[in-house]
Amino acid sequence: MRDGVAERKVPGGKFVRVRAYLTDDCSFTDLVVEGDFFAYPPDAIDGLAERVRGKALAESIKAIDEALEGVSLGGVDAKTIRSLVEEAFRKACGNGE
Amino acid sequence: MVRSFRLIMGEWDPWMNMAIDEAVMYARGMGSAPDTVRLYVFSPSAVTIGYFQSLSATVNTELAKGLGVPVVRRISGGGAVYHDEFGEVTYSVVLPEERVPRDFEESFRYLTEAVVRAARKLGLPAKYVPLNDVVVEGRKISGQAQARKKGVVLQHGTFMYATDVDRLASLLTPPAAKLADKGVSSIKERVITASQYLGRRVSKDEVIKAFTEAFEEVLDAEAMPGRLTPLELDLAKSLRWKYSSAEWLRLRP
Repeated sequence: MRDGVAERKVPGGKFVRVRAYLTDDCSFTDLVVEGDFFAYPPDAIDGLAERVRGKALAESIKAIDEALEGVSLGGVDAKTIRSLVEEAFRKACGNGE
Repeated sequence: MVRSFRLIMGEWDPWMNMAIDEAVMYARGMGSAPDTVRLYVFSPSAVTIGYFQSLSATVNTELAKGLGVPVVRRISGGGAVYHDEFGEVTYSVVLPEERVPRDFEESFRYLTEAVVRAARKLGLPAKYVPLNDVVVEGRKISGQAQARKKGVVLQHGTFMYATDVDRLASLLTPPAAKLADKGVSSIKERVITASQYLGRRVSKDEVIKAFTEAFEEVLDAEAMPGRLTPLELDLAKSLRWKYSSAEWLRLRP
């Protein structure tokens, strides 16, 4: 099992931390997005873990993009969440998949 | 003023306070409650954390337990708040979405104007700072959070008139990156209370009067003192179980 954490205080926005949990061969087992941001509907953030479970990075990023489409975010944007997921993944798995 | 809103005041336990805000939001969405402003106190003092926050990364849970300060996860986003029973008033406002700008910043600016006005009535040079703060000379005196469901907006927020800032600073553990972004190294440097700024003990009654008038101005409506309906109370009692459950608190451990 591997894990990686990436965090950012968005300039003029909110604090976001992503925790990625992965198998030894680098597919996601869990993904936690936490911080003091706002999101409607909140279930879209809660549901990200389910969307990426069992997937490698590229597929996961695609699933995250789809999940966040139409979600109203405050203090963070979808691009930042995606980039933190990538960063957390690389901390756990380097560039390998 | 032709419009009115229901004004509910009182002290409840932390779980019930959060449950009531959610119950009023649902009742408003079902059309069985009017536009509502609550001005309330947490008894006992408590910490609330934002819906998306990690419990362990945000609150000194051991200290909170030792001090007998409950920690409750909110339905709204935003950051952690220390609600001091003897130095803080919390407000909540529940309105249909069409009464509030859709854009995040614009909606916070609109509803937080009541906090700014209330603070100014007390003699504080308060201003709104996006996204969800009210500051006095650069130091935070009030933070706001929102939730939206069933076509209804709930905004609730804090106003520190005499909060024990030492206790607040010991209970809340914001990430260093967040404090650095605000140009401070400790949370104590970041916050201020009305009593600190004015150099006198501000009372809860003064704060409640200022907030009542400010909401009347901003909502362009008359405050009608009222109470929760039996439906809202029943709903709140059910929702209180959620707020007091370990599963809800540890949603993000």
